[in-house]
Order: sequence, then structure tokens, then C-alpha cells
Amino acid sequence: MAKKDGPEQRRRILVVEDYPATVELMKSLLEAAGYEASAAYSGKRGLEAARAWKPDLILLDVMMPEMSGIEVCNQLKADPETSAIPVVIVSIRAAEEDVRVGVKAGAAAYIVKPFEPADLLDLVKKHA
Amino acid sequence: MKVAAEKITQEQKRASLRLSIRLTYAFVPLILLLIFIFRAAGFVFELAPMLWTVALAFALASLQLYLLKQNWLVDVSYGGLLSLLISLLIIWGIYNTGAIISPFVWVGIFGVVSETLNFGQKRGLRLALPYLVFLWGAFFLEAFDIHLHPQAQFVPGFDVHAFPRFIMVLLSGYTLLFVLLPVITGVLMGQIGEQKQQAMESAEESKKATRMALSMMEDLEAAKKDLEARVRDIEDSRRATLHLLQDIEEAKEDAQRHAEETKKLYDDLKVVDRMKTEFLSVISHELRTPLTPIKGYISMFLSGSFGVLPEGYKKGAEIIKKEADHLLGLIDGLLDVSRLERGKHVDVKKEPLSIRALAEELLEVMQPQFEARRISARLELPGDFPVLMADETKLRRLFTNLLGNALKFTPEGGWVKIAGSREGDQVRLQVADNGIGIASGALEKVFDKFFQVDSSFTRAAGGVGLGLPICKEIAEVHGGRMWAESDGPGKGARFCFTLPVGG
Repeated sequence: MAKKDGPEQRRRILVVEDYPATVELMKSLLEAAGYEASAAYSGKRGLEAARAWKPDLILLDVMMPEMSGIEVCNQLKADPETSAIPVVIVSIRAAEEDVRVGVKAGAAAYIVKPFEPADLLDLVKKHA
Repeated sequence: MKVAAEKITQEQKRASLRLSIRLTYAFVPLILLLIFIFRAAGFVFELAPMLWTVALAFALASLQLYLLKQNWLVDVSYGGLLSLLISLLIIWGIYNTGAIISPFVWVGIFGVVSETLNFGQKRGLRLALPYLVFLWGAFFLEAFDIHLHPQAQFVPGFDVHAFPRFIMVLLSGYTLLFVLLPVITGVLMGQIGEQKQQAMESAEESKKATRMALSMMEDLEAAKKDLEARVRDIEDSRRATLHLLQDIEEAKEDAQRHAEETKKLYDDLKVVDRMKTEFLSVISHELRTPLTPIKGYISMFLSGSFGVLPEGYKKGAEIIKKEADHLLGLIDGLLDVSRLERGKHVDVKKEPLSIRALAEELLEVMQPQFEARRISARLELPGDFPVLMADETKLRRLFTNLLGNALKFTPEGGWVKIAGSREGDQVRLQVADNGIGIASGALEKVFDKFFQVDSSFTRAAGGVGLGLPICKEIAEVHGGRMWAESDGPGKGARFCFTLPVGG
């Protein structure tokens, strides 16, 4: 659920990614662009954070141990509390099949790593 | 049946003589018996003369036997003559003791029988004649009172004059005896002969039968040997066949084992291939992960997100960016190798694809890069260029590769064009440039994996040498083909490929 723009409030972006360096990059990128970024380092923690923090957008990695990003996406969309939050999948996997799977799970967009920072910011701007 | 006397062999004569001698010996007890009977019947006669007769008959037979043994009796007819002569002697001797008829009779019987046995009835009768002549002569001499010997009597005890009839009956009886003797003997001999003939004939028959049986046995023996030989041949060929079967069995087992081994090898190979692919896939993902933050931060540095970058940092960041891109290219190449090497297993998702749209999009995306090197890019497709059934992702990569190569190998101020035309049920496309071209000897080699024209050049340009092989595979996987054309080094190049229209 997008927050109503009252007094200028920063959009909240949740980054669900297990690789720390990539998390740092995304957080730097988002904050330099004026967003408030928060990170969750696993699928489980991502779900908890999504429910508790209610971000405006979730950047979701796919290849994570324990719980795959697709599974996380399915659960986000199944839970009414989180189903409205747009999800952008940021994944190493670039095959068409993977994109299809992501879209089927409910992602609003799909971007492949390594990405052009500008491209990522465009997507965030578009969907958050 | 008459006795067969066609040819009387020496052997036959001897045999007959032996027989007559035997008969003579047989007479001895017979005579003695007769003497006894006559005496018992009351006939009174001098015993001595009878006994002398017997003795002399015996002697006569023995003499003949001796002569036979000595081989003096070559022609046994002499036997008859001899007996005649000896009987005369006996008569003369007996005559002195009183009896005439008896010796005649005994010796005569002996002689006639002997002669008949030896030479047949005719000759037997012939010999009987002189005896009869002598008999009757002696009688008539007696009757006419011509006494040959004062004391001898024709029939002792019976005066010829007193008992003429009796004596004549007696004489007739003896005559009949002499006549019948050969006949009877002949008949007997005939029968015996017949029996002998029959025996001989049946002997012949049995001999013949034996001979036939023998020859049959020989034939059978030969047939048996032949059969045995055949059986042995069959046995040999059976054994040979068995060996052959065993060999075939063994060969079959070998073939089976080989097939199993081959299958196992193939299975192992498949496993290894899969492992390789998975390995490559995993590795490529693993290698790409760190590149995300590397490239990301460098981008941010260069875009000034953290503030203005001093010149040194800027230059360094730019180099890092290029190298990171290069590294990414290499890693993507790895992934491509693992993916496309599977060849026909690659899924080709054929969907309606407009080459025009794809080419226009790519040219637009790469516009900045072309502009940076002042290379003009254009698209030349006929208006009726058809929509193809093709895999968009793969064709995107194909064009991207070819355009990337064209960009790399065309100097500043050159041109790149995408052109195409329809040819029947397929289309012909090409990405052409006026760049460094390809030597004629390398036109085919450019499609070899890891082939690089000049490794220093391509390293600077960024590449691992997999772009063209991958493009070729993409074309072939669609059912088309790809080849390179060039007018020579420095004269540009054209990378052409065909694609089926209908997929």
C-alpha cells in the first residue's frame, strides 16, 4: 500500500538479499537517490520485515539459501498484509524461464544482476 | 533213376570199391547166419567148404582193399574180373571138398554187387552173365555125368539126377538173384544216388544260399561302413556346428558385454556432461555475484553519486569498469559454452518474430556505442520481409554478438548495416561492415570455438572468442546455417545466415 504523500516522506524500500556486498551497494544506491532503505538478509527475515515495516517496494533476490526468492514472493502475495506491496526481483538468473517464473509468482518487474544502477533506480521509481 | 555214370572219376571208383569191400565184410556174418539156418533147417552139408568160402571171400575183399591202398586197382573193373578169377580158383578148390554151387553164389553175388556199385547196372548184369554161364554149365556137366571133380557135387546132398527139378528151381532162383542183384543194387544206388544227388543239389543250394548270404553280408558290411562313415561325418559337422554355436554364443556375450559397457560409458558420459554443465552454471553464477557490487559501485563513483570524482579516481574507476565488464563477458561466455554445447537439446522457443522490430530495437539500444566511434548503422530490409517463427532471446543474442563484432572490428568513421531478403521458404540475413575484414583462409576458422584473429586486439575489444560459434549454433538450431564472407583483409566483412520462415 503506497503511503500517501503528506509532508515529504521518503519512500521505504526493503532489500531482501543474502550477499552483503550487494546489499551495501543497493542501500548506497537507494539512499543516494533519496530513498529510505532497509535490508533483510534471508527470506524469512524478509517476510517478517515486510509485515512489520510495510515498505513501499521490495527488492527481492532469488538465489538465497533456505528459502528461494520465488517462495518469498509467493508468500508475500498470499498474505493480505503484504500482498499489495510491489515486488521487483533482482536476480543473477537471466533465462527467460526464470523471468517467467518470477512474473508468475507476482513480481511487478525483473532485473538481472549485475545491473546498471540507473536501470534499477528507474524501476524503483516506476513501481514504488 | 539210373545211376549217373557219365564220368567215373578215380575218386568215385575208389569210393565204390571201398563200399563193396565193406559189403563183403558184411557178408561174412550173413553167410555164417545162413549156414546156421540151413543146418538148423536140416540141410546137411559139409561145413568146411562153406567156411572156406567165407574165409576166401573175406580174403578176397582184403586183397582188393590192399590193392586199392597200394593204388594198383586203378580201374576197379579189374575188381570184378579179379573176383571172377579168384572165384574160379575157389571153385576148383572147393570142388575138391564137394560143394560147387555155394562158392559160385557167394563170390558171384559179391562180384555183381561190386561191379554194379562201381560201374552201374549194365556192367553188373554183364558180370552176372559169366557167373550164370558157369553155374548152369556146372549143372549141365553134372547132369551129363561129366565130373569135373570126383568128389564134388553140384549141390551137396542133392544128386542132380535124383532131384533135377529141385536143383533147377534152385538154379533158377540163383539166376533170378543174379539178374535182380544189379537191378536192385542199381535201384538202391539210384535211390542213394538220388539222395546223393538231392543232397548234392541241396548242398549246392545251401552253398549258393550261403554264398548269397555271404555276399549280402558283405554288402551289408559295406553299407554299414558307409553308414558309419556318414554318421561320423554328421557327428563331425554336428560338433563343428556346436563349436560354431558356442563361438556365436561367446560372440553374442561379448557383444552384449560391449553393449553394456558402452551403455555404461554413455551413461557415465551423460552424468559427467550434466555435472560439467551444472558446474559451469553454478560457477558462472558464483562468479557473477561479486561483480554486482563491483560494477555497481564503480558506476556510482563514475556517475558522481558520492560527489565529484578527482581525475585520478575517475580514470581508475573507468578502467575498473572496463575490466569488470570484460570479466563479466568471460563469465557469460562460460555460461554460453555450457548451455549451447548441448546442441540440439537446447530448447528453441519458436514464436512469431519480426526481424525488423528486433533489429531496429538493437540498433537503437546500441546507438550510443556506434556514435562514440562515429560509425553509421543502418537497416536494409525489404518491405515484405516476413515474420519468422524463431526464438527471440536467441536471435537477440545472435544479432547482439554480430553487431558487437562489427562495432569492434570497424574503425572509426566506418559503417555497419543489417540487410536481409527472402529466398523461397527461408530468409537470408547479414550483418555487414567495412572493417578489418577476414583473410580467405580464416573464413571458416572464425567459427571455431576460442578462435581469435589477434588475441591482443580482441582482448582490448573484450571477448573470449565464443561469440561467433554461438551465433552459428543459434542459426543451425533454427534449421538454418551461417557463414562469413569477406573481400579480404581491410575490405570489410559480411556475416550471413539463413533462417526458415515457417520455423
